[in-house]
Amino acid sequence: MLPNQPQAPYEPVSKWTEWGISVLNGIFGDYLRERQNGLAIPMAFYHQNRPLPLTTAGLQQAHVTLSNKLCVLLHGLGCHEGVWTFRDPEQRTQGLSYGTLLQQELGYTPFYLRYNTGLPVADNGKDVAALLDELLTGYPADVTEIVLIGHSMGGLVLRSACHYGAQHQYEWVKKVKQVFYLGTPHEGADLEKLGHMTTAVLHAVPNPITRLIGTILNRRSQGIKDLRLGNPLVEEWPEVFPSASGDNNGQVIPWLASANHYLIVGTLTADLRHPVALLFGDALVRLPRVHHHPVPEGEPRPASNHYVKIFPKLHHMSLARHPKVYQQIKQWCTNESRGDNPCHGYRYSNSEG
Amino acid sequence: MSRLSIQQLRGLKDLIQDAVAAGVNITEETHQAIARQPYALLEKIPIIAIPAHVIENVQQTVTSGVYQTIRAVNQVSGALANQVLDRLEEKENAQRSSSHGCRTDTNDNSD
Repeated sequence: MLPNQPQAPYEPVSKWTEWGISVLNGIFGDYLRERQNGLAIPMAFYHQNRPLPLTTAGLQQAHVTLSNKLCVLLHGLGCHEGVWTFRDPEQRTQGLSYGTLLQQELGYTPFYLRYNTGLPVADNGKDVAALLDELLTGYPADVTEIVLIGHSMGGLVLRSACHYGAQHQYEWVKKVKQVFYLGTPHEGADLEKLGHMTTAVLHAVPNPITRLIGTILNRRSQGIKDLRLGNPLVEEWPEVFPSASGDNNGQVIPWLASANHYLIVGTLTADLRHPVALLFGDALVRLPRVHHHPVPEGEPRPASNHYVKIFPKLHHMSLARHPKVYQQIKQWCTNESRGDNPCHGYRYSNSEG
Repeated sequence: MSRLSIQQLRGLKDLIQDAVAAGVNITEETHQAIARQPYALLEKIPIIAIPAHVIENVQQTVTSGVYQTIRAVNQVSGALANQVLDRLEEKENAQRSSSHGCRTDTNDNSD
């Protein structure tokens, strides 16, 4: 295998119908699946806007070179793999993505997942775990390393996939060295918290109109609702906390212990201590709490193999397609292959945070 | 601009139909709940309780009729759209099979 051989260019996906369907799936995805609606997106790796057959022939047809290192990219809520595409303003190159760049510069073979983001995060996690197993089964080369990159909700799905993958003892889990979370709401998304609160208030008011608005708001997908707490294992809560009905209760979410976890976050303002940055973060996801103060005793604490990099003045969607973010990912990947600790960012722990 | 597949068009049709049906149900429910409020007050006055009840029944029948009509139109529109989509699907399948046939002929000739 020749990992640095030039690859077929990544075809950017910008067709409005694809975006429209992805947005619909984000908002009503669970309903679409339940009704077996033709608009429900079946989970698959996509190549040039088509599902990629996970057979040796299908994979060879899609990628000129299938290297030993894989890179899997998961988009966020209401998006599809087109969210990763960007244009390098300096080189004026179109159709770039973190995947194509990692392929050209570090020899990773990229795989872009498209999935129904309205489904519960845990369901998507299970499906991703199974799909990665299928990918490795059909993959014609011996895979030595897997890098996972998730934007927003995609990061939660990845965490869930790693959890279920480890539970099922899938081979791919052992090969995951690094997981990148770009603007992932590990501590919950404020917008959904607000949505949940608004719905509860509207339903509590004894007025038919407010109830009507509350009922309409409540039609949003389970995928969106899962973002409130950022816990990819929501479906397990009723068993773990029979009376909790959705509160975190200090439940420690399992992180894949054998991999390094890299959190990349953005802020709307240049000054990280600006009230806007502290309140809104990257517009949708706030800065991790450990950035402001140590995690209180007894609260969920990330493992020590976590690194955080904050990009001031980079909003939520830009995190999926920005040259600076790519440079950071590349640097961390390069350091990892050299066996160095990351130079930038800081350890997500009390001692060094 | 990419085209929606027949399956996706059918999905879109189903989604619109479901949305209209759900919208009609929820609007009717809210409408009846709001309309019930003055009648509930009027029923407390013994002299007009009986006529108020009669008027409420008439109002409910008329309102339900309107909503039923919307539901029926929604059903009929859905059925018509289904027929159009069936035709389109048949046409697409016929085109596909004819192009497949042409390819087979060519192969046969070459053989």
